[in-house]
Amino acid sequence: MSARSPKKKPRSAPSRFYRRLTRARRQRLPGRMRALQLVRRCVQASVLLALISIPVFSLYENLRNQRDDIGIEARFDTRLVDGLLRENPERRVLATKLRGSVWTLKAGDTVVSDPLAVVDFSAAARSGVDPFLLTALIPLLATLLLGRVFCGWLCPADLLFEVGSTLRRWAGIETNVTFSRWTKFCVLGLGALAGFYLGTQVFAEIYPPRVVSGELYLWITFGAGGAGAWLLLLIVSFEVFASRRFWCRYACPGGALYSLLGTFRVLRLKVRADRCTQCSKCVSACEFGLSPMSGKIGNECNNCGHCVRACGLDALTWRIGPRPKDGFDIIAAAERSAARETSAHGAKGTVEENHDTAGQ
Amino acid sequence: MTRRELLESLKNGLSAGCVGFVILFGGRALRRRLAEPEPAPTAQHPLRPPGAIAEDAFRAKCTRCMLCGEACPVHAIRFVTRIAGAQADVQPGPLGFKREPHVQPIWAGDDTPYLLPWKTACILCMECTRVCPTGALLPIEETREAIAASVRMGVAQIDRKICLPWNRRSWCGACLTICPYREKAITVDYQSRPTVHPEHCVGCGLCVEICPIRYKAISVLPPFYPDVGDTRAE
Repeated sequence: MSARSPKKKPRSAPSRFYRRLTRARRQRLPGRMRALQLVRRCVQASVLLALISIPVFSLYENLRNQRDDIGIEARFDTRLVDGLLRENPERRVLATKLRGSVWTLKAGDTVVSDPLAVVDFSAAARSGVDPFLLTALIPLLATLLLGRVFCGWLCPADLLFEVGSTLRRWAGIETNVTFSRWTKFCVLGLGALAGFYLGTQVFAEIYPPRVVSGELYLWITFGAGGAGAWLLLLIVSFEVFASRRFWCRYACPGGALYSLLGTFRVLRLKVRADRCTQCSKCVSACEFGLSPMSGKIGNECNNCGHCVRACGLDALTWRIGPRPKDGFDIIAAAERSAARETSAHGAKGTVEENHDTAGQ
Repeated sequence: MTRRELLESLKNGLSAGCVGFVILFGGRALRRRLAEPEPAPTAQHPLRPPGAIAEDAFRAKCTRCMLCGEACPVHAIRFVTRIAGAQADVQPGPLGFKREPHVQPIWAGDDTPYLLPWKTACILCMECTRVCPTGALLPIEETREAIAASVRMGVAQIDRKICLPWNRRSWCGACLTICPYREKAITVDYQSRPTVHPEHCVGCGLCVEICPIRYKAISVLPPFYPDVGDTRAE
């Protein structure tokens, strides 16, 4: 490589790591997108860590309060958390501030809940006006702007599904069972109807993020879980044996709700027509079976960024802008050159405007 | 008789038997059901945490976030799960295990909170009522009078067949000692034989937890009856 100093001779047999590094450079992977993947993994890992540590801290406070509860003491060694929280009253108070899960989070006095929880609640309680509905405001706004960002970035079950798809890749399973994408909207509608008539909350039982959080809480606190673990096993086996993201694509009521809300999302995946060679690497990279290179991925995209990372030609990018009128998120070559000219004259960020005027 | 004929006759006999059984007994059960309708099955439910609204509204409003369980300082709040919960609900009894009358069938587990007083009793701190985001548990002030007025998780019931003083086996009074509303909810006579007064009992289950008898001479039953159960009807 040119970056090396000329004094050193190149090694006769470069290491495996070095070869991988140079291959990545040759492919001209967009570095920012690789950094974005790292950020996404960190966010997912911290969500999982929070889901584990919140019940652990709760149990720790319980055990600190009653040391002689032998039944729980046998299952949980307080020394694990002692090093972290003992002699630190501020930290102990801080650890009790954050409670709940991705379904309903309580940070201090603020409650943030899933929009699906609100839908479930208003269907089962048969009420359209309740203070609980306001708790979904922040996720609702985020979904309106960013689409199914919860699915790709915060959902703890997504991490489980990625493990499943890794297993699938290792085992070399090629099956691809597909349904209509409308199936999950049917699940959403029928579940809301069932909740309305039964008077109980249905989605809470089948929504994987809540099931994962609930099972983690039950296993940590009581050392025993419920049927949710079997449900998760079933869904992961779908993931391994049926098709990638089977549940997210065809059955998840939360995914259906976010897709509906994110129809007019502002963060959009765009194709640069002059760079795209229709190699369809992004199509095989997409976990959801979408086709990013066609520019028409609709509202299903969960912002995971796999396609952007897979594209060696940097033809896919994220842009902020309104929904195109023809539904195709394509930056045409002529528009790009025009935008480059205008940006050369000093104006910036006019790509979307040019695209809009060209569409009219 | 060939095998096919045997199978045919077996099938006919079985189906005729089923039809006859339904005609003879099913019709009678149906007629009885129509004559005197049973109380609504939703009236039977596990012990709910303090401040719980009426059972139907509770099931509709509880969003299964488990915040009440995390807030409970003694982790008395458990969750109705389908597999593990049904096994954890059975109380040790003289003949192996005794199913508590309020235990739900396995299919009914829905991650709603409940209490098992013979394992861990409620200490009436009212922390769970404050964290509930949906109003399935209504907030209750942490004072003696407010709790006595609005908490009615269940009603304690004494099994006089195994209670020590009632059998003249020993002097006891443990339930009276631990009861937060002693001399009102539980009173003892001159031989320390306890009596529960349901109108004052909040159903915290501390008496169950402290009862020295292994099979618990006192147990908390959820308020099945409409006049007791709808403590906080909307």
